[in-house]
Amino acid sequence: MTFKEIRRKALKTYYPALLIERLFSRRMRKIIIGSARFLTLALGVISIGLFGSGQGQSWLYGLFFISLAWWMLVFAIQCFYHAYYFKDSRGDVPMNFSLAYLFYRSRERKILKRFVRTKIGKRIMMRTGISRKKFDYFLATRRALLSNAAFSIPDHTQPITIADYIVALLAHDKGFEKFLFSEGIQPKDFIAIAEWIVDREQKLKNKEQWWSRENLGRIPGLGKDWSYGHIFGLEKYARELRVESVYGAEELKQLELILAQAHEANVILAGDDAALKFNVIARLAQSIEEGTIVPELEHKRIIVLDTDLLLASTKTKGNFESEFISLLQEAVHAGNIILVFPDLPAFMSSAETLGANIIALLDRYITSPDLHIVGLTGVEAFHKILEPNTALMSNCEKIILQELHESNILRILQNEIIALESQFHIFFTYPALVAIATSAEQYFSEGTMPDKAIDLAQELAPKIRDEDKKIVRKSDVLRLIESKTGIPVGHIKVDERTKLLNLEEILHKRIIGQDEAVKAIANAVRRARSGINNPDRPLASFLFLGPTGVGKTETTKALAQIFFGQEADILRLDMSEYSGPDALSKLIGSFNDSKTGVLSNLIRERPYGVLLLDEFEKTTSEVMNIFLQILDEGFFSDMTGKKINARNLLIIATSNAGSELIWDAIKKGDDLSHARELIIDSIIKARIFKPELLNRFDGVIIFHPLAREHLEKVATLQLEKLKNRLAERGYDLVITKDLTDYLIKFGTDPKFGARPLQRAIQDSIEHAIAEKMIKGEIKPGSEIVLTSQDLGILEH
Amino acid sequence: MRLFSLFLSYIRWHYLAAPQNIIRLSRTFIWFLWHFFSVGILLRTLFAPWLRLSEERKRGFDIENAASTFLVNTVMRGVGVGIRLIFILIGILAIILTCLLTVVVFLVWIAWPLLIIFSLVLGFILLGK
Repeated sequence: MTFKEIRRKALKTYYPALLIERLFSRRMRKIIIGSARFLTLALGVISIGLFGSGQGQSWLYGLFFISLAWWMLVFAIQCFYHAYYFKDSRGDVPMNFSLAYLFYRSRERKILKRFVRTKIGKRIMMRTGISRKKFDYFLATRRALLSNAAFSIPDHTQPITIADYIVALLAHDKGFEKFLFSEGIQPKDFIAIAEWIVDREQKLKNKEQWWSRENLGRIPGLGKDWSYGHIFGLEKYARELRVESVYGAEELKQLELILAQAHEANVILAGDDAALKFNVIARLAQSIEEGTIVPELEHKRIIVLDTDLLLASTKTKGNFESEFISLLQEAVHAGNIILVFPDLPAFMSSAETLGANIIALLDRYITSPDLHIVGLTGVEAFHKILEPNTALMSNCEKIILQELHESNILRILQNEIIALESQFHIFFTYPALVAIATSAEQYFSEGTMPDKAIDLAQELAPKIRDEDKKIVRKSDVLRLIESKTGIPVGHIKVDERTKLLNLEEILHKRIIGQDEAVKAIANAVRRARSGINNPDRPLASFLFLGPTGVGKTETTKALAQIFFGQEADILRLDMSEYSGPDALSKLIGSFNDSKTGVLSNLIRERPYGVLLLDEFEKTTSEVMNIFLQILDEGFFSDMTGKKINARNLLIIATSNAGSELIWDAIKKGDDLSHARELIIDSIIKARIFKPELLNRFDGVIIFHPLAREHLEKVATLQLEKLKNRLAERGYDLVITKDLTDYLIKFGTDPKFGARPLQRAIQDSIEHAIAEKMIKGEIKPGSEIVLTSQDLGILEH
Repeated sequence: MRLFSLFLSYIRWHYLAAPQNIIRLSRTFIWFLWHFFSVGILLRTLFAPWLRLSEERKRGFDIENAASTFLVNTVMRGVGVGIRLIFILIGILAIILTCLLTVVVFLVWIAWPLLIIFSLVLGFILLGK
């Protein structure tokens, strides 16, 4: 269909309403009708009053009749308009009214210009968050486009939707598509925005039509439950239901449809998230209460059977069966019960241990039109236990809970955001919504989607209002994420950019040597910061191999400081403490004694930061297997089966496995990068780490032992730290060659790298200074020079 | 020209499509009233015991027992019939009113253009007096 053909269709369907819409805006019509009605009424009342008292003036009556004629005319036109305007609510139209209006107002060769002048076009452009100025500049400066032929829609498209219009518009106008892209709006976003706006218009329109069957049908009827009985027995076992999430609109619709059937109105609801399943049921109960449900169900009552309580209070087969049957009889007798089993397969197997067969017991009742049964189940149990059971399934229909996709979440969020907007007088751009949805999933592990996203939006809204801003942009969302998590996610500013580009230099100020490690880490940080890393894995993960005291821990600290801005964010676990048979349960908790695990708690409390696993080789293979999953998928399940998100962690494991080989290589004068393969091979052969585990790390980095020149630098660094400490107290330590030489001589040990340095400083240098202070040889403000004599004394 | 064609399509709509709309609308209202007053359900369950309250007959024959059961059940049904009948009557009355109103609206609508002209002419005559 060409543009012309579509336009012709639009006109054919809606012409009078389109013309009236164009000539008189909605507001104008409202004013005209309102004033005509008011004038007629007022003149009418006055005329009748005066007529009654016999003081009437004929000119007043004249005015009344003229006004009445005017009102009748306007009313008729309004009816005429409505007849065409509401055509799309009855379906069977080639497109809906707002889209028809877009075509009506557009002209070939001027499609874009006309599009952005319509109400819908303006709203769509506003949601993109592109500033008016930029867009106007683009429109004013671009060269003429165009291929009219490109604006066509496949012939069979029926009805034509706003998405078809946008696809054709972007195909027709590549310049516009490029412009949107440069502003960070992809075609799919633009389509989603347009659909959002048009859907919303349509919904408002449907509501406006209060006289429609759909709207009238939602008004609850009187006296529907006068013919249903009480359920004293069932009430004993009824569990509470509460709506906790806006999730499940689609499932609710399906559930309503099945339950409203005359026969086999029973449902098996399969899904792995128990909370979500209950939520769908709770929403059903809420709709019944609010009277927004289909008429067939408006008198129903939902009872969630506490099957555990039932089993526990009956204990024997005989008791259980008679109680269960009496409950079912009561439900059938009441005539309006929807009986929900919270976990049907589990109930079946528990009853089986008593010797009772639930399906056989249900058999007589499940076919009754007076009772609906809803069984909740996990997906696996559904396929294994329920689905093969033909006796059950022939009387039930199944609903599999939809997984939450980003587009679903966005759709829900769009609905929720409207309320926030009117409450706080702000406006969310679409990119801000997308940022809310993706960040909520990525950075917050507690809670379920889409509620996490809604919470985030609710937190953001008052903040934006308090800042006296009107528009919520993507950057505002990222700023909130940054302040909540400490993870830098927002736009990279100039000083941060310089820092990121010179990461190696900055790291080398703290880490001496270890070029390979420094480079790998710098790259990982840059990758994570730019946001191109895989969001379904930890931010980065490394295995540091090397002898003790060569800077592995120091490197981790430097990393934490650079990425998160402080050292405190290191979650440190000494893995040698997790080498016994209870290692795994200590880490992730144990179901038997319902203890929570150290790792689960650590990550739950601080989901953002650096996780340092010291002496990783010392832990058990079970624990390593858990890390296999964490490194690969970014989460693990704790003892209760709850997912714990490790995707916002930088994971560093250190190990001195292979140190001997590293030493040998250095002694032989080999380059470590060549010896690397040999070292890793030998680690695998020695079964210290499995090859698949090593592969899961973003990098296995070998730290080389420190040579004399490195040690000198480390010594200087350490002395400078001491010097800074003393300076705070008003003393000035002079770092002499004697001092460094002394430190290297007595403070280093090839086997332990730079580790003994710290002790040497403490034991000898700090000791010597303290002694001098106490003796009164140095006073605040004076220089401290330690001669070899000062230190020499200590040598002995 | 455009306004003239709009006028023509208006007249077509006023006498062809709109009357159908009025009837459709009236049917919707009747449907709504039928459901709102639960006329169907209440008629079907007219003699059902109120809230399904009833006394079960005990085993064996006992004239006293049978009489009391019969009495209780009759009272329960009697209460049910009374209250239900009231609602059914209100519902049916509302539906009858709607039907009458539809006829009136229908006639007024047919005369609507003439009424406009009549009102306008009358207005000017009165104004000129």
